[in-house]
Amino acid sequence: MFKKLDVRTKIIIVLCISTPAVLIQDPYILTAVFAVSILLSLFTGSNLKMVFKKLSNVWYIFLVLVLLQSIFSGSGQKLLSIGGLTILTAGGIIKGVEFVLRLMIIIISATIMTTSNHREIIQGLNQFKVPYEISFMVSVAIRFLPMLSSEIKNTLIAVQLRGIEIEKLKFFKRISLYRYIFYPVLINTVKKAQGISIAMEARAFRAYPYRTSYLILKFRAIDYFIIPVSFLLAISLILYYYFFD
Amino acid sequence: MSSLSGGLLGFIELKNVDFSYEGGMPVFENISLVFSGTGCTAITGPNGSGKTTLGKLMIGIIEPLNGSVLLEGKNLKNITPGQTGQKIGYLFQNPDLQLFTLNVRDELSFAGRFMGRSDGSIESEVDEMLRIFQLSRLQDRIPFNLSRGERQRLALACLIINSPGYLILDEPTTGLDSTGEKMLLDLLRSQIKNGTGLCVISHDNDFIKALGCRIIRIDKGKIVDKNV
Amino acid sequence: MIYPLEIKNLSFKYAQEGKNILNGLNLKISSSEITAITGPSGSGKSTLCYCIMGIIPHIYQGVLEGDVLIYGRPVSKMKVSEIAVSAGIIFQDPDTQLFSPAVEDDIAFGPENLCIDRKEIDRRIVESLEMTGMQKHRFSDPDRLSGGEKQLIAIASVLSLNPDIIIFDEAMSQLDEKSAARVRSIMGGLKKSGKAVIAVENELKNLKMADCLYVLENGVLHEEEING
Repeated sequence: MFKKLDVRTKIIIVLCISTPAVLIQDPYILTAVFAVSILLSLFTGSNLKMVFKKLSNVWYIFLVLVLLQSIFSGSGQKLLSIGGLTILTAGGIIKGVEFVLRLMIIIISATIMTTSNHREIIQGLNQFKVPYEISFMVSVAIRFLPMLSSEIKNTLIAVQLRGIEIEKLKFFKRISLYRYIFYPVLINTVKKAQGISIAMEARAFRAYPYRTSYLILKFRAIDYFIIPVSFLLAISLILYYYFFD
Repeated sequence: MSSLSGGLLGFIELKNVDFSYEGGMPVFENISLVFSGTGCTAITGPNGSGKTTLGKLMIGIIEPLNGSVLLEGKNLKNITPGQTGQKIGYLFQNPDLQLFTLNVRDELSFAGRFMGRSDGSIESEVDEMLRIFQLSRLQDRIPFNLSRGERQRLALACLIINSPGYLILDEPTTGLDSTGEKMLLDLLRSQIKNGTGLCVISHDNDFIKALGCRIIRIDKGKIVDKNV
Repeated sequence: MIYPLEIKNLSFKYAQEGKNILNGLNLKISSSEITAITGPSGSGKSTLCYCIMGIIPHIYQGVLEGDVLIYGRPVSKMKVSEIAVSAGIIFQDPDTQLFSPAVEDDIAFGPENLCIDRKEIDRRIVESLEMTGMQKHRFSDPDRLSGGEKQLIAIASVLSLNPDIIIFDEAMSQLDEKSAARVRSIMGGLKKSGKAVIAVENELKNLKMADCLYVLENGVLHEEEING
């Protein structure tokens, strides 16, 4: 049932989850929103397992974020200090955890969009009255992100296949090798983008200020139910936090 | 035939390999192949038959789902791409993926420099490659701005300068006109004569015949024909 | 007489190059004919195609002289997307020509831009899939298709625009014999339905069905006997 949600409903759900996440600064409410975002993401059929696997590769970034937040916005009980410099405080850690939760909520709710293909996303934006040139630009950008990451991975292998044993290089030499990965990735991406834009124009893209669409999105009963409920929940959560809590 | 049917230790060996791309249909199911370290083997077949995929498996750009790929008896999984690259030169279908610098000369020399070779010994080899591949007048140009055929030649020169014992070339004739093709043919023949093993992935039957390769024909992920 | 396509004294020089790649080139293209253009790599075949489509001078810049006229209108005064109403092009590399998640979306893309209504778009999807023999792939993801299938879908996506002039810019160079034969038969069908077909190829063997053959050399075209 959730898997066939209209892409416009999904856009609204993402907005209704990420807006409170940005506005609210309460670890308990954020945890609840986090749980909801995971549930919704699972219901819509996104590949959460893979997202978590990728995130777990960069867990140390999250640790650094918590630490930085803790150092710069410390408050409350001191937990750890080195030579007079307070590193960890109870309040700081809570702030740090909040920050990471917020980031996770945004990342996970965004995975809901990956369950629609980019043609649907373009059409969803168009039917939200976004000009078609802008929605196409957005969709090309979405399509290029995964392409870019696989391009980087492949180039890294290709450069090693020249017979360069990365493992044996000293730290600074290894860093300077990454410079060589930069050119082909950049140039191939620009070339591909240019190729696609030429192919699009050569098929009459932007010949007229309007275009028709073969794909038409239609809301179903479930969409009419979920959209108002999402708005209602998001607004009441924000109101509750600002006026009653 | 004997070198194909297993038993003998080959240079590159695929053992009961299964492969499919993420979320896609299986490309290979339980294929086994042995490539000897000398002479010429051609992998041919229609578009979409899995030729390029097979080449990528042989060099370890992609890993088999099941089964193993061995290089000189060692599982590719346990060898770094750097080590593989010292033994095998791999020409990508799209040469843009293996040009990394902003100058033709640098392109030929940078890998050697990274591996700690002295400038003097590299420069004379670079000059030789520029001569063999008729790239001398282009030596200060930016590789990405060269024509398709010129980039193809440069990519190939960058492999040969490493003097690997084995070459895997994916569609090497793409973008070459008949003069370029003839030059490539002569070069590969002399490489084979000097004991370099060669595996050509190509749908260009005339080219394969001219090289006199042993042919492995694949279709829809199955080996349909193996000729000596 | 007004030709669908007429090229008058066309010269072009890329900004970073020293000499002209096209040098006072003339050509007239008629309906219901297949015009073949060949020439060594780097001779400017693709440049000529870009000039016809208005990609030069609108997207790639350089020094352009002379005129390309489509039904008597100079392309230099039209946007590429306007030219696309009369002339369609299939490029060598199918990967940059397909950008939709499903084949039918890619075929619908052109007619959508022409503001054609859904019923007619549906008819054109069915028709172009039939012409290319790709009916079974209507709902497939183009990324999952083989190179040959992708190229046929790229052709279908141009056919759905129903242009009078159709250019195949080395569209067969990466195809195996079976797919290339399919493309040749599509060209034959287009000729019968009154289209002006331009087939640009490196290899003569793909050009036997042409009505006239030109060789591009030193920036100008020479007409040659088809079987000469």
